[in-house]
Amino acid sequence: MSSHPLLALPIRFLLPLLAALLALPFGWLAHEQHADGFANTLREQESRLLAERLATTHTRLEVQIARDPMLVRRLVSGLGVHQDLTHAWLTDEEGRVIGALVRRELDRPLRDVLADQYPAFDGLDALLAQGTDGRIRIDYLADEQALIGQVGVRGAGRLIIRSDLDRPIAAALHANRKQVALEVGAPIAFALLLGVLLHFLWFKRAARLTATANALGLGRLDARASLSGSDELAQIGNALDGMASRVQQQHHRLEQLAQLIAHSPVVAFVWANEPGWPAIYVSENITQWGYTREAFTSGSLHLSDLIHPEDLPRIETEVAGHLANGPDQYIQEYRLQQGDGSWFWVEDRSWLTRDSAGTVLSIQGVLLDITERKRADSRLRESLTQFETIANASPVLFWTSGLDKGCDWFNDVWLNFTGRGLEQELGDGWVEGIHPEDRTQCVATYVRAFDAREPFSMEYRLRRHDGTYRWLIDHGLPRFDAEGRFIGFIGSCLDITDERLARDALRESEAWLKEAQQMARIGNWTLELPDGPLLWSDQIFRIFEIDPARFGASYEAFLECVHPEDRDTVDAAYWRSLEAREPYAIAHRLQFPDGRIKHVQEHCETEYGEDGRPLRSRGTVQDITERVMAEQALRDSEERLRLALMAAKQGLYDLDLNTGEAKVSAEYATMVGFDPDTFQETHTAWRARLHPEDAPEVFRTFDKYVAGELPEYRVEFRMRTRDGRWKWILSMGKIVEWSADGQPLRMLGTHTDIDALKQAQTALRELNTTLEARVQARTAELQLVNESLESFVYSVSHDLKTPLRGIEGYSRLLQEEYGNRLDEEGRLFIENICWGVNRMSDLIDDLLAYSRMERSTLARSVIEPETVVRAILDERKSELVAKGIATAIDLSGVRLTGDPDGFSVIMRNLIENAIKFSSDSEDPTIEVGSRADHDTVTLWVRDSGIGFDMKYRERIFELFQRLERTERYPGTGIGLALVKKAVERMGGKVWAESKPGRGACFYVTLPRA
Amino acid sequence: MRAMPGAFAGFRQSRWHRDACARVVAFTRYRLQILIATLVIMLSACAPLPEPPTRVAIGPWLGYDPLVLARELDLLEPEHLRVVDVMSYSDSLRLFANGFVEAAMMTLDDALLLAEEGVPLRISMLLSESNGNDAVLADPAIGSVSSLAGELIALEDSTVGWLILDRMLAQAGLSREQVRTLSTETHLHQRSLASGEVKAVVTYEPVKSRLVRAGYRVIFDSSSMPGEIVDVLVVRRDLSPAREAAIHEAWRRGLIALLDRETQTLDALARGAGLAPDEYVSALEGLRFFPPDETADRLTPATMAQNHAELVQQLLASEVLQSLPDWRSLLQAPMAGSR
Repeated sequence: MSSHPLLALPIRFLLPLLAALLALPFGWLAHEQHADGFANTLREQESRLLAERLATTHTRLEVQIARDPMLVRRLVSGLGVHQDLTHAWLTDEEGRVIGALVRRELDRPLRDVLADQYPAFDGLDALLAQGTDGRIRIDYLADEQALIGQVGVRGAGRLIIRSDLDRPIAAALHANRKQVALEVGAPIAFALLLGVLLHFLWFKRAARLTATANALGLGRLDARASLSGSDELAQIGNALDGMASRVQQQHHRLEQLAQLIAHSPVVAFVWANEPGWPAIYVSENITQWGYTREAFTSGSLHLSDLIHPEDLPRIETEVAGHLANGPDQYIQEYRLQQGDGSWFWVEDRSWLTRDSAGTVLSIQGVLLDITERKRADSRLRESLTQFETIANASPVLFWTSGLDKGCDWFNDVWLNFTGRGLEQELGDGWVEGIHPEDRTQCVATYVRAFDAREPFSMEYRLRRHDGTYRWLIDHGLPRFDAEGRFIGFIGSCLDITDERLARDALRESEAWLKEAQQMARIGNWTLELPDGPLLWSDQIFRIFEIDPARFGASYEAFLECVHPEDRDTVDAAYWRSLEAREPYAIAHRLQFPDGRIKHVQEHCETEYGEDGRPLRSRGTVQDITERVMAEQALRDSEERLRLALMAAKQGLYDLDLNTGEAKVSAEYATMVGFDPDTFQETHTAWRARLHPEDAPEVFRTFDKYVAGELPEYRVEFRMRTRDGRWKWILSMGKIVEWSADGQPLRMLGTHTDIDALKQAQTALRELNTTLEARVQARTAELQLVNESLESFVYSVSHDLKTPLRGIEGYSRLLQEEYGNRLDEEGRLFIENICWGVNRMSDLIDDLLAYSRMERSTLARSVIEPETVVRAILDERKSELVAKGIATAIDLSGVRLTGDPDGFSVIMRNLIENAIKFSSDSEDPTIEVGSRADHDTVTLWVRDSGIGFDMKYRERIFELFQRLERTERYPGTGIGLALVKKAVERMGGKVWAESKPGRGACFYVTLPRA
Repeated sequence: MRAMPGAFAGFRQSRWHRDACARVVAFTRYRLQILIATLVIMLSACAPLPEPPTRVAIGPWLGYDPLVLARELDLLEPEHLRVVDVMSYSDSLRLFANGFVEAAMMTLDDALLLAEEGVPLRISMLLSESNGNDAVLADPAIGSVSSLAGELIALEDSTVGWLILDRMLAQAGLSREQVRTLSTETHLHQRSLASGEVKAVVTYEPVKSRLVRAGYRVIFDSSSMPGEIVDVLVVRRDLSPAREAAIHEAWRRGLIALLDRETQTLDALARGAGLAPDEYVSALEGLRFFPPDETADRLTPATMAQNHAELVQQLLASEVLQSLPDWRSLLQAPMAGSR
């Protein structure tokens, strides 16, 4: 069998080797990934640095150029201090060199200098062809890995400097290789260390563990691994040691057990399953029966030789049965002959040992002399016979059970009752006669009492011989023998069916009464006259909220609950009914200590004796609180409606459409100037008051409503009041009765006075007409102001840039060259100046961009968003990699129409925004997607960043609005304003959705191509 | 021992041995590949970076021109050695002190001062001594040094400037308190005089010649204090001997070229200094270059201590220096393995 060569290595070599193999590709990948980003990042850094140098030198040159040409010359040559700066030339207006790193180039045309000394210097013509204003221009010469920067100098020509990127790139790669070497070396060193550790911590101890296991296998039970520590090996070692200790103890216990058997009255045998069952093992104490163990183990004596001839055939048959069919544990009793020839009874408890195929391998048995017990059993049987005779003579059903809980005897009375034979009832047979509903409970009660050796009493139904079930009460008692040992139970049963039926009927009738009273909230009472007891039903206690356990029923308790205002009336009504010998009924209130009121209805009737004396009063009390409250609520509701209509200046009408007569409310009459007391409305009168211009619309609406075309009748019209004025009315109505053939019969509705509202609407309409014109004028004015403001912003921003460049350059010079002369605070001040200047520069750039956006002409062409977005992401690749931001773009096939520059501004700002606010999140992701509709395309940029509260969704698009501190997330607050401006110029829409901490999504909708 | 070969031969023929050999060979092959890959990465990490050029900063002082000449005549390898003409002498001190350049040329007293301030430097070479090129020039209206009492004198904030001023004042029996001083860079000296703001300036070549040409008068110069103003080459303490030797070699070649005094050479240098060729030649007279092969003998702690004892005393007295210079440390050769 051949295995992989690696598997031939011990694990302590293999593990480090595998770790090293894993580390190498990872290291290589890391190196490749970093190297990609270096060139771009460095180029950006170096370009910035070059621009700063140009800016600084430019400012100094412009100051010195008119004063001291020598100084200007040295200013240029001094640029040589910067390591990567390889060339510098300052030319005059004719293109002659007036400043350079070396003097021999001075006073010559730059073109000649370059042609002579740097023939390989490409791109010169293009360079010199560029304009020479005050703007700094940086170009990248890809072939030469160099940057070339130039700036026009006032009073001279231009300053050109060239910086090589070779060395910075080489240094960055070098640093990266060191990092990778560290990343690869560290895991390998760790793996080697791991190998050494594994040897001492694991493999050496594993060998010790194996040796211990081998020793134990060879029977050396005192062998121990004794591994220290708490790792898995130590745990296995401890488990092995524990196991060895236990085996040793068990071995010791077995020896003790053999000693114990030798000193007990029980004789132990092990027989082989062979003809005659020769003994394999016999315990020492066989000598108590007058034999030696050798006589059995040598085969000269078999146990079967000693069994009484009368018992032998039974024993052989039973054993053969167990061997063939089981069960494998059994007990037998038989007689044995002792060594002195006498016979005695033994109890033989045997069990069989079988192999997996079921073949009996050996028989084990323990034999106990039970001669004494046999004698006692015989005596007991005699006494039982006597008891049985007595029990059969009594009318009671008797039963007994043995230690196995099974019943072993029933008297004849039981058997006659059930009509079953004794054999059917024995054991668990009696349970069959128990009613199925009672069976579980009955058996459980019996078993529980049996296990606890306690008396029990239970009722259950038992099937009589005629098939009917009769209720029995069964009393069970534990039985004990003369020595006080528990020997089972005895029970006696009586038929109680008749008593039981009577009791159940009574209970059921009481329950019904109680339930009925509870549902009707009616309680009843009885008062024995003249001074007899007063009885209340439970429901009365409940109505009066009296605890029956604490207070009994009394007339005083009753009167105490009655409302004080009703108390005399109630009392009088009762006594009057007694005098008049008539029943009475009265409704009154109850008042409770917490102030609650209940309403009750009472009925009472009194019985009289033949001599005319009152014997007892009976009565009922019904709680009618809910009904009374409902009636009250209805009254209140009607009153509220009336008040509401009054307050809303609404009049109510109820029109009979057949007769044309209407019932109206007082407000209705007042609304049209009539006296409510005398006013009578009819359809004709109403029609006469309606404005002729409104009438057609009113009737058309009514007809439509009746035809079911309108869900409600609602119409506005003018109505003449009594004094001849016109008043605007809103009429609403609903037909509430229809004839069988679908004709409307009755209509209910309201009239609302809307005169004031109508007047206000007219005034508003007039106002609106003038307002529109004013807004237009104001907008035009604002546009004009805006345009001049934007132009101003552009000029100011542009002019601000130049001095700012000087401040920036000098600050940096101060920081680099005088940094070590300043104390900590001084350096901090310069850092703050630089920070402020950079921020201001960014602000001005953004302001310029914003302003430029306004001023530039809008181009229209077809744009492919995917190309634009990919280009932007490529530019930011190194930053994305450094921050570990994943991107997902799904824009394939999307095309839209708009201004390409504007679109680029939109996507650049949204993506930069997403990068900026995602950098701190876990697993930062930027997703750019799109959805095309009928004539628009919606693009979105989603990030997993810090998000924002939606209450700021408008604010974020305003100029200079920032939600985060600049120190944490740098920015000028112009980017999104720029986006909004660009989108709006292209006739689109922009909005954002977000939640704090859950990222943000910016949507842009633009016209589709 | 003689039984060993036979027994070993038996072992070598066994099947176990063959299997084991195959496995070891296989493992060795893997291990070699792994080792090679690891070593490539490790070694590439240890590979040295391309060295940037050694930068020597020099101020506008005639005495440093041999090195300028070496550069202009391509007598040095520009990718290894870069001679940078910085704006002013004090600029060269500052750039060196702040670690922006690896070497600079300065007067001995400035080197001692920088060393005392804790700049890690080494005096590498003696260059020249000023023999009139450092001077005090005054408005023609000033008749003598004593007329300067109470007047404003401009000087560059360097030790040499103060040394010359002190020497001149001492000769005239004045003290520093009796004149007013203004710290200005050399290139501003002519303007300061012209504006009448100052009455005299402490300056050096080539400004001295330019001022003379403009009509100002030399009232004191370094020929009155022989051996006191010595220029030296200082290098950063950790500069490697090879790089240091490259500067020495460039200096030597430049010096030879300068001493040849070829017209074309002088023209270029004069133009750089803003002087006419004859002015330049006469300015050179105020200088004495040390022959390069002599400087090693003079650059021992004992010799230096002895030759410049007076200068050191003067610097201590005017509290420019706080303690005696540690010549041994200032001249100590660099440790092996320096850059």
